[in-house]
Amino acid sequence: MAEMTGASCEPSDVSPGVWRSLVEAAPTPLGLLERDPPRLAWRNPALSAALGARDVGDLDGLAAAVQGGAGAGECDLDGRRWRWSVTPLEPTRLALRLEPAGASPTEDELRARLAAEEARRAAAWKDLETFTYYVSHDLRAPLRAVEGFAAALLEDCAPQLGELGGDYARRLVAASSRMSGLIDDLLAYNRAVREAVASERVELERVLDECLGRLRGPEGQVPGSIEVARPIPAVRGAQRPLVHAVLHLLRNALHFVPPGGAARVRVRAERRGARVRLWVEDEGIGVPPEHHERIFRPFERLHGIEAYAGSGLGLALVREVADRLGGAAGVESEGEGRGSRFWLELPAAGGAS
Amino acid sequence: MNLAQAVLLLVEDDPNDVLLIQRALNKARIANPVVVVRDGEEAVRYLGGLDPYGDREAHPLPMLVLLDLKLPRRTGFEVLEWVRAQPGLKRLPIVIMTSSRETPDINRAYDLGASSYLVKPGEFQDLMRLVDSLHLYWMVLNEHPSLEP
Repeated sequence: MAEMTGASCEPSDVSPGVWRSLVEAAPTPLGLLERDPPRLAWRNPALSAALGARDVGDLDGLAAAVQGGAGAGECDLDGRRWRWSVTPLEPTRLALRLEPAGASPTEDELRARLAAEEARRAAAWKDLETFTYYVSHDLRAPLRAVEGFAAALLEDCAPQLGELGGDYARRLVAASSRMSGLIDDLLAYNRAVREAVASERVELERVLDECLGRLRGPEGQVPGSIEVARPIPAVRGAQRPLVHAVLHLLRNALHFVPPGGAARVRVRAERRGARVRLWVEDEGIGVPPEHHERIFRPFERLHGIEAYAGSGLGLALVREVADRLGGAAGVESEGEGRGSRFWLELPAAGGAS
Repeated sequence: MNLAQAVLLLVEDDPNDVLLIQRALNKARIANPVVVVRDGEEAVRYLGGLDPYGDREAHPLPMLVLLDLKLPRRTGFEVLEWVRAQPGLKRLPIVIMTSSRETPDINRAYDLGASSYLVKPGEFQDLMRLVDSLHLYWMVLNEHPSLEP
């Protein structure tokens, strides 16, 4: 065996059994080659694992290297690429060693991988845009037809329909209207998530103003009362997705009230270190503690559509947007009938932009 | 020009949408003659006075075109582009009426010279209101250009 330089013991002090154990335990595939004829006389467990039942003849160029006394090459074994090398030990014996090929990528390789990953991600977004486009155009057309002709039935064919037919037609109208709302919610979720990249200073006060504007009816009135405690600090985020998120929170607060009840909503903000937490507090039906996490998942609803309409996407959008902007969202509520305090937390805007 | 006789050209391939728009026009008591063509190529033929629309007495030029974007043979964008390139047609008021609310579509329509862009409402009630407004604005109130070059 070759001498170990820098070793604190002479080779003769160590029994052959110990040397053998050392080589056997090595994670590097190692083997002992005989020169003439070229064959693998011994292989350590790592080499057995790599080679399987193969021998010298199964690796291109190996036999020639053995006969020549030294050499190196590459091979593919069961889907893995290896570099093999042969070095002389004694006149008739050589060492075979395997190394995984391409183990440490060069900087160029890393850059190439990154570029490929970026291209893949861009292609995935393009697919999503195509999907959105398709949904936007093609799903709405049959829906229009269902709603339009159900309404036409109700108007033009009332006598023939009778009570039962009229009821069926009304359900058609309601169902297609619900589906239209679901499509709108899905498209809005899709877009808000795509655009939720923290890239600008956002004045939450202006976000709130825009939301209030959208909530106003034709006579300028808001259904229920919304009180905003100003000032509200600016945050770092993206304008449009935040408008969607805050709008959802406000709409929920106005919507989930007990039957016959009026909505009372309070909006305020607090600084929490480097973040701003926006609170949307209501006196509505509340959320039982065991459901506090569930309601933020897509399509999870606590109430049937008969009781309270909704797609189950609103809070999922709020949380997804918050997460992507480096923030968080959650709720505090003692339970049924005790109101809720939804919160949306975002990084504070640093200084003036 | 006699306003009541002014033709409305509807370029729409979906037979359901055609029926619903016609129903909305009827309910809004809009009595203008409505010509329907089912694809982009028919639209070009009609507006260009090509066979079988050569006789302008029988097939008069419209005062207003309602143009869908998603059409067989030639898309709404292609029709729009073609019209704006014809000296005798380029001033023709064209209102896009389509399903898509997507910004790229809206911007492209205006880039190609659309006079206005409307999204087909999901509910018939809203379609009626839209058709009413459309008629009032584009056919009664709006000042019409002469199409002569």
